[in-house]
Amino acid sequence: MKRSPFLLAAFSVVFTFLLGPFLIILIASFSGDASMAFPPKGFSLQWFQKVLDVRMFRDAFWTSLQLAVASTVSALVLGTPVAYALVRFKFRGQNIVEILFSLPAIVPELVLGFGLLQYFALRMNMPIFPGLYFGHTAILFPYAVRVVSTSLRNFDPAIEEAAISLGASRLKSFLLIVMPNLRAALLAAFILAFITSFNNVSVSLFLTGPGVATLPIQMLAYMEMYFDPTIAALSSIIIVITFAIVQIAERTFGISQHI
Amino acid sequence: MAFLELTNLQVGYERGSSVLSDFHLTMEKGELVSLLGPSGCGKTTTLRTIAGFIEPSRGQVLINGRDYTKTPPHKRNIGLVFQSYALFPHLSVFENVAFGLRMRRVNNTDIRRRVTAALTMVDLIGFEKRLPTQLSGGQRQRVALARAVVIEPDLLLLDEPLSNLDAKLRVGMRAELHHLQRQLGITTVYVTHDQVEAMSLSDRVLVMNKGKIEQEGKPEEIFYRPATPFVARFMGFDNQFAGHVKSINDNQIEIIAGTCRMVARPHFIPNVRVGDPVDVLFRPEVAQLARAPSENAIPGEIVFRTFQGSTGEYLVRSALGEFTVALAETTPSFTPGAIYVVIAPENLIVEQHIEE
Repeated sequence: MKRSPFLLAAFSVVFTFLLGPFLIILIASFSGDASMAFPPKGFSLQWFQKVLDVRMFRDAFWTSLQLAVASTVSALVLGTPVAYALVRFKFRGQNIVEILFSLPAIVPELVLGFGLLQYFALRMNMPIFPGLYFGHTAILFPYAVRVVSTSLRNFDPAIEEAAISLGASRLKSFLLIVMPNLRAALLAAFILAFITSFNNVSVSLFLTGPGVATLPIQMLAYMEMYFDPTIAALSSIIIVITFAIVQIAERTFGISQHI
Repeated sequence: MAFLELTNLQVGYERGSSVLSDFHLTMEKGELVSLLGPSGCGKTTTLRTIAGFIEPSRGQVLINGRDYTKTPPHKRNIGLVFQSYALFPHLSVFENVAFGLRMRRVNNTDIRRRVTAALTMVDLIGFEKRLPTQLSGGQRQRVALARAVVIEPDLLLLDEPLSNLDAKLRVGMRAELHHLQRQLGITTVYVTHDQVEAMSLSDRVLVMNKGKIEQEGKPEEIFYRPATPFVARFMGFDNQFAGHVKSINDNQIEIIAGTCRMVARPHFIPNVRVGDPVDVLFRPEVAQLARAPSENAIPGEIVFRTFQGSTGEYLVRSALGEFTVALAETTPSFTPGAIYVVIAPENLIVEQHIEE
């Protein structure tokens, strides 16, 4: 390919704005100084050590992890049959149902968060973690439906009919024939939903409360009080883990074609 | 007694419009019947109704005397082969073929024996461990076939099984299919839009159009004596000209078309009277070319000739329209210029002209 100066300029702009911030955070997290600065002064691993030492980060990490796993699994368990029904059957009001199911992804998350706060916490007096769990399941559900139905649309319905004609009931053919072929799509949906939940701020902001906070909320709270590179170190850890998970999933299952 | 009986079948997708109406079919055990017709004629719907994927709004499906009309598809013992093969992508060739047996809870020893027998039959021994993606189109089709027959189905349904294969492979697979069906003696319904396929495989052919049977009969009957204009066109009566009836004597019709006087002795006498406008049809292979005028000849001009291997096809332009004439390559070729298209009276089909 010819290297035109224009292309080079475009590349550097994209690089600066897209990857630049990550680079700065990565570098800053190894700072030897107690305040956030770029370029950092000195080199140390003390901020990584601090991340591991601070109790509230450890607690928040576990909360976020449990929340992400629980709500992602629930969204997939609920979303897969819905996706199946939407793709395989034609029924009246299908469009309306489809729009209804994608609402949580369309409504601004702040509005959704506020609504859920009103409903779960104030009206139903629900404890914090269940509230978070239902809220996250709601925002992940449309992703699950979307990813799974895209994959189902590319799955020849004749394959299912073949299984049925060979003596499998509809349920059996779904479990034995359709599900194994959705594996990559389910994994893609899982990762996408997991990351979405793990990183969510706006909905969690309304639903967290005394004693229970997700990691992003805890990070915000911490930053309001301290401005040292701990947050940068924590961010670096999250970036590296996320990147690694996505890379492994891509190499093994080629998940990008499902998103 | 008939083995498969479809009586008075009616299938409607939407209110008012029916995809299939008044459909009757009886088949003897071991017979191969083709449902032949253009897309949308209802042939696949018929197949899916027999398989149980569509419930008819009226009528009955009887197999071996038992009423299957309300039986769900997985409780019928029917082998299906799809145009897209529909193999299970995540399962090996062996497991694909074994699936039906596993659903029937056959023990492992018998599964191994029967799958091996089925794979031997379709000549795929040594491919057991492969995944469908590692097979060629022809091999996939053979796996699909083995998978359908290994369950020893009462009925084998084939939905355009050869149309995804390339031309050469198709002919080979057709012969194999024919052999296999005869060998196993499975009662088979074969859906196709390809008349050659239907002719070469079937004991009987049903030509379908708009959800109705146009004609039913042996391949020879349908090919040589199409009962309706639709069937005639489908069977390769590609040439057509308009005229009107001058006289009718017994089975002979005299027609005036432009300046030509044509005599037809069709094997079925259309419902026409003297003076009626008619369409006259004939096949490209039955026409002859001559330099000199004669009886039943249409004057025209050769536009061009295309070489087709064993035949040469001439495009002839006349006052009555354009005709295609196919001559064996052994006959001396005609150079472009004035010519007469000669058709024997037996080879002309006459039908009432329908305003379109």
